[in-house]
Amino acid sequence: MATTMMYIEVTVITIIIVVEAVLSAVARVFGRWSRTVYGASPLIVFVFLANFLFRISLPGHALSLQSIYESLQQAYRLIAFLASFSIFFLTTTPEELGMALTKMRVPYMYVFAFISAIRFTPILAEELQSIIDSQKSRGLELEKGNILTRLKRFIPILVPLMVNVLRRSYELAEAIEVKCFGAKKNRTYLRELKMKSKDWIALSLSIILFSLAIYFKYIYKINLP
Amino acid sequence: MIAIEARKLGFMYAGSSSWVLKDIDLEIYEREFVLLAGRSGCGKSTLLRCFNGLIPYFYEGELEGEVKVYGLDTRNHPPYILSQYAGMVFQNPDNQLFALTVEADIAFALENLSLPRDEIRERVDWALKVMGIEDLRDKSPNELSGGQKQKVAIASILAMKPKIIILDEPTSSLDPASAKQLIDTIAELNYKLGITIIIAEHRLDMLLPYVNRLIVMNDGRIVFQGNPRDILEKYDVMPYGVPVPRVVRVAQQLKKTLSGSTISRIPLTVDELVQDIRRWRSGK
Repeated sequence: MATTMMYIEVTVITIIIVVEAVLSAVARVFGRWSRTVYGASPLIVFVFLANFLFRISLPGHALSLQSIYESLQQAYRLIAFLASFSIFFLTTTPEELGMALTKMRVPYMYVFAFISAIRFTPILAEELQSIIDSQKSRGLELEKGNILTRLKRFIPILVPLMVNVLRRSYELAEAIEVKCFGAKKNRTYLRELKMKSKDWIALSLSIILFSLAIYFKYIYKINLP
Repeated sequence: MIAIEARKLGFMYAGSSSWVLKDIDLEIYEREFVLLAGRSGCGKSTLLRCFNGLIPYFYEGELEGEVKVYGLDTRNHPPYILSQYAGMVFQNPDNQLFALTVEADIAFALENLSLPRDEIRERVDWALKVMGIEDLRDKSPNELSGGQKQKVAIASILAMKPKIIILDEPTSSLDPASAKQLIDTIAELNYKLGITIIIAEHRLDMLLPYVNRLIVMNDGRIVFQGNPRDILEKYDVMPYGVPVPRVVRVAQQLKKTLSGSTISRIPLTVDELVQDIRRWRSGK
């Protein structure tokens, strides 16, 4: 991902995308991975157009093959970038992410906050929807008016949502209290991630590749098409 | 053996000027199944929160008298100690599950108590089995129905192996069928594992067959307490917002209209009423 941010050259990006495709195939998510990348195509087209229009609107820049090429480069780079995110989220469940944070010795308080954020997002989304529905059924119109009046109309939605969230947080606090949260300084864990040999290999490979990328970019500068 | 003992208990929430609990004297014995009834706001939930230290530790206010849980004074034992004796299950199952899988949720309290991993694994398996939800182990709480969530919430408390389980209206968000199923499971904890159950509920029709003691509360005081059959026979509890099961009301009417010994006892279930009527007919 970081490599993508450093390089713009088409060759490097192509290598990255190929590596990502291989990785996703190894992780057996190639089908879903290619679909997410494909699903991002409107965004990629948009980035291309935005880049292109920005470039030709700059003073001293005219419509040229050069500007088309540069905009294409930017859009292409985005593919590599999105694809790497996609692999991460397709192969890592939120629990594993939480366990990884624990493994990295992040204090449990923060890991817990992270996990509960994931846990309660769908619940809050549902709650928000039901508040919107009930306020609409009382005659609240959200789709009319200019931006300012529309924003004002969100107040009757935000206030009950905040009240509910506060009430819920109180109940949650009670519940973690009876589940002995923070009872002992050193918590134990039922499940823990262990570094296996293939994890070490993957980690060292990525470090080597990343250092190579830095090396060729800043120290031994090479020119690529 | 006495599990919970309350003496001259009174409580007033901070910022309020009225006592929510007044002069409560109560002894709850091991293995009892206690039902707290009364209309909303009568102090049921507050009383339950006195039994595991949430009052006075979590809620600020003025506490009078004393509560002892297995001899431990709730004033100087924090909830995480008392919860190992008296676990509590709340009304809204969503607000009691924090983890992303059922298994992790049940392990949560045990991890907090820093039990060794093997023991956690053993207890999680056990709790899943007792609640009959082994098939839900790897599910996310968001995928479960209300009844299943509440079972997971009970399992997560059960895993701490408390001697008492306190439940504050656990079925209020459930449909009647899942409520019945949940109540039957709770009753099993009582008669199979010998866990003392203290439950605040409005579904008397489902609970009465299992309950040893009915406590009716009104305005912060205990109005009646005792064997549910005796109470329903002697007193009219309807004015205190207690939903008397229909079968009991039918029996009371029959008793009034048909003189003599037609109905010798107040039946708590439809089966009992049918039995009584059969006996009466054959005796005639």
